[in-house]
Amino acid sequence: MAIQSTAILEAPPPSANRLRDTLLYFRRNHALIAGCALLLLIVLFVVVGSIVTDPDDARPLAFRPSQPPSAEHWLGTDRLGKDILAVMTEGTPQTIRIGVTAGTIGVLIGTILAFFSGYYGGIFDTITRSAVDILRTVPALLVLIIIAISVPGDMSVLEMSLIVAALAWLGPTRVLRAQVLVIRQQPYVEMARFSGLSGPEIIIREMIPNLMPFIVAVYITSISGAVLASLGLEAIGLGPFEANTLGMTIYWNIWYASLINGWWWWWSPPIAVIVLLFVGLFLISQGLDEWANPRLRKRV
Amino acid sequence: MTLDYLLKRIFQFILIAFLAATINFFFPRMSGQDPIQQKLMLLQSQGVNVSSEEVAGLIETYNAKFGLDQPLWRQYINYLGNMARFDFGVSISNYPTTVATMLKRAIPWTVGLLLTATLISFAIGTIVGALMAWGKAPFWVRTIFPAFFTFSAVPFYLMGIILLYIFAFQWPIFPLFGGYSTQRIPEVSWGFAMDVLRHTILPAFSIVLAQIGFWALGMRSMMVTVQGEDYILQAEAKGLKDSRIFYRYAMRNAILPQITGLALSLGTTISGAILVEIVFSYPGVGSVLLQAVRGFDWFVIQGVVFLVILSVAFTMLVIDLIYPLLDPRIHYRTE
Amino acid sequence: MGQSTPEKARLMAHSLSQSKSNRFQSSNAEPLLEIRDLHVHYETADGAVKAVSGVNLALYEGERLALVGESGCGKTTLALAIMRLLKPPARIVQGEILLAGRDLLKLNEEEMRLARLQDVALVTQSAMNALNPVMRIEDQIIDGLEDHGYEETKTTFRKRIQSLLEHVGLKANVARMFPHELSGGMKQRVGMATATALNPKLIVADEPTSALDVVVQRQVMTTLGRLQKETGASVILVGHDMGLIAQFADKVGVMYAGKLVELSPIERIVEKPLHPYADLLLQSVPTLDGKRDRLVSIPGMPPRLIDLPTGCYFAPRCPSAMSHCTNVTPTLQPHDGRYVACHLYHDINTGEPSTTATAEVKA
Repeated sequence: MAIQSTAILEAPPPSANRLRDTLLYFRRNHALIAGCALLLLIVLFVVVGSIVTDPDDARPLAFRPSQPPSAEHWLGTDRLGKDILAVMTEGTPQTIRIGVTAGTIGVLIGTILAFFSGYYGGIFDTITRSAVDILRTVPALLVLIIIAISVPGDMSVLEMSLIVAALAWLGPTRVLRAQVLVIRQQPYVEMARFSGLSGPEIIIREMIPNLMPFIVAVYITSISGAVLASLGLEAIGLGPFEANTLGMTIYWNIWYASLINGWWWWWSPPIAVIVLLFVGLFLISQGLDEWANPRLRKRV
Repeated sequence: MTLDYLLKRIFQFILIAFLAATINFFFPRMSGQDPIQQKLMLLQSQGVNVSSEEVAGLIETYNAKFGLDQPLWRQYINYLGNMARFDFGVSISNYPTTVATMLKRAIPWTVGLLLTATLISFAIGTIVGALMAWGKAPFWVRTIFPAFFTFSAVPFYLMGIILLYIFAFQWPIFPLFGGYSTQRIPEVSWGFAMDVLRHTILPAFSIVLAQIGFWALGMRSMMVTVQGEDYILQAEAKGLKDSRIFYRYAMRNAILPQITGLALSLGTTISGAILVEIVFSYPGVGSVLLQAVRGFDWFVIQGVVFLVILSVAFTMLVIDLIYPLLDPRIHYRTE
Repeated sequence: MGQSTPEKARLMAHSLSQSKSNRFQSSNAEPLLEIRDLHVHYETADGAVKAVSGVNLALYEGERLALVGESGCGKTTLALAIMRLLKPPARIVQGEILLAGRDLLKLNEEEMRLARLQDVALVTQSAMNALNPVMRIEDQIIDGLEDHGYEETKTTFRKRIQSLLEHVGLKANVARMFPHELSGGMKQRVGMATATALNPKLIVADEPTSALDVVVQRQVMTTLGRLQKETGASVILVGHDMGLIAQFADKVGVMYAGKLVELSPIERIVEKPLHPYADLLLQSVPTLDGKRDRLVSIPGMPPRLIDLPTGCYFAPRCPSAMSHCTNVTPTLQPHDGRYVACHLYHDINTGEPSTTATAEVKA
């Protein structure tokens, strides 16, 4: 009896060993490795692109428009006279930046809301929960459209990130709040409370480190969601027109009907990169899910 | 089901409608933009000659509708009233066509496309997932569906572009764009229906392709959970036929979370469908939206946004209200 | 050795029936259920977990046998093996299960399906989840009837179900209810009504009272007893509450680590258990009158079924272990009108029982 109860109350193991164990574990997590490999492929593509192209090649009327791939323009040129490889080299990081910015904002707000409402409960929790439950049922793209058309003048990439971030906190709040509710009951959190730690101290020192796998998993999902939302807005024509983001490239493809005109070299690169990006993020989040939910873990 | 729950759900629905109308009203005003002015500037920049009576008519309708000379709160109340009556104003680009008329024309296309695609992917995905868990699915199905699941991470409209290229451009089996052939006039006839069907297959298929894996894997994992339940063991102990256990005991229970999932995924699905319509130039709400965004047609955009949010909320309300018929345990009693 | 097993089972049952009172009318008839040298393994990555290893058992018509033992001793596995409801990784490796002379393990799937409910029915462990939550009670019973070839009108079915429910002490309106509207005890009664729907010869009740409160437990057992008397079916009751078991059973089989270590009429085992494990087990549960004054826990843990020790599996925990207990495996042999697998009662050198000399079989 006595032995059992100490075993439960024991705090999680110290972090040095844990880090090594985590790294060792990651090496066996195939989904995670495959996902990272796909993202690495994108990085490689951008690096190669930035070596062989010049940022000025991605400006309109830089070259003869609508030329198929050649030795000079590896991916050809688009209807606007831009070198497509240069456009991709500039646009891919821009799109990823939108995703990361919005995802970060979303996770930050989400984490704060989740811990506050989940840990303290009360009226604040009721409001947060109802807001998340109701907003979750609203198609996000439509709300973002209204926000996007309200932005005066030409939109910048940063503005795009902020627009997308407007709803990016919903998912993280919902997922993390549920986890906070679970972990709040854990013996080591109770122990910390008995030993006189304050609420914020418990959250920062005990709860956040233990929910790290969930936070990371939710972060990846948020980035993916933010990229998805930005692509959707841009495809409709509500994006940074001056930029060469992947979504704007899709927009110009739709605008100039590149498919019907047979300019396959124009629409295929952004689609390929987007597919790589989403499948990569998806595999990573699958891998992280397995890490976060030990029940899913394969035998160690 | 109790009245309490019913009222709570209806209140929630009204709240969503109210919120949708409110952001529609305040967001554009917060940025201090004048849609009419913007439209005029756009037309002028395109070198279009705007006839003076058209502009006058527009401005007059606009002022009458929104009473711009009145205080903001009056305008807001007025706006809410209009929204409640589905009076979204007049299209700026297609003056004097009302937004409601444009939407009425587009909605059947979107609903048709979305309904077909969702039902097909839900039905096939759910059955395949159930068979996979029951060990009855052939090898190729078991290999191919997890791959579909990975595809569900990719936006469907990009799948649509690839499908269009393969099946409409390279091998022109299906039309490249539109909801019906340009030489045809919409009518209720067999020929027209077949033409519409031909135009709908590819866009619907791109939605199906993206969703089917999601439903299949969701159902598979639910079936695996259900298979461990005591009532399945008891059903086997009763000497029931395998088919009866499969349908009436396992699937019947495993499908319940799938239906909840269907309700929750509705918002994402409709957003995706709007973009699919854009890629396929399908004459639904998505195309109306695209045209409106290109033409700074504010009232149309607001109308689309309000209507879509409202329809999703309404469908969820309906699903919520019929759910107790599927699951007798749910009584919506308030404790 | 193969030929000797049925002989052994008959002998076993014969000697038992002599010790037992009036319920054994058919002492010279064939047993209803005969289990011969049954082995069930759970195949795992680390090797076979031997959940049931070499159980022999005979049960006559109208008999009530209780199987007891600590959790993990194989009693539920044995019960499910009789129903042939074990799922991979569990596998019946060897043995015969003869029900009215027919080996259930040799039936094809369809024959076995028809045998369930018709010949042998199961009352499951957890009353809470044994019913399909989305179907009315009557439909769940009708399903069983229909899949055994009964094609009747809804009204005829309903009449039948009404009488089934009344037999287990439920009102007729329960038929139209959903499981969540019933209490645990009511659900267990529905389970019993379903099990008796086709008058099976054998009812296997796997811990039918678990998760019920004490008063309801008694009621359920009383109902099961009455049903048994009315239908004349034999019952195998898997349980752990000796109080309830003594109220219900004619004889008790004590299982330890997948083996039957003692088989004895209820009065005699309660009075004096032979096997040291049975002795400790009976001390560790509340006595018949419900007092818990003799509550003793058995020191040590049951052996890992994946690598079983040589000799007697209980030897490491046994207070009366002798030096040869860890080397020589004891077999279930007659002793004073009962059966026990323990070296205390048999001479290991000859394999002959050290006290009463009746059987000559080895496992």
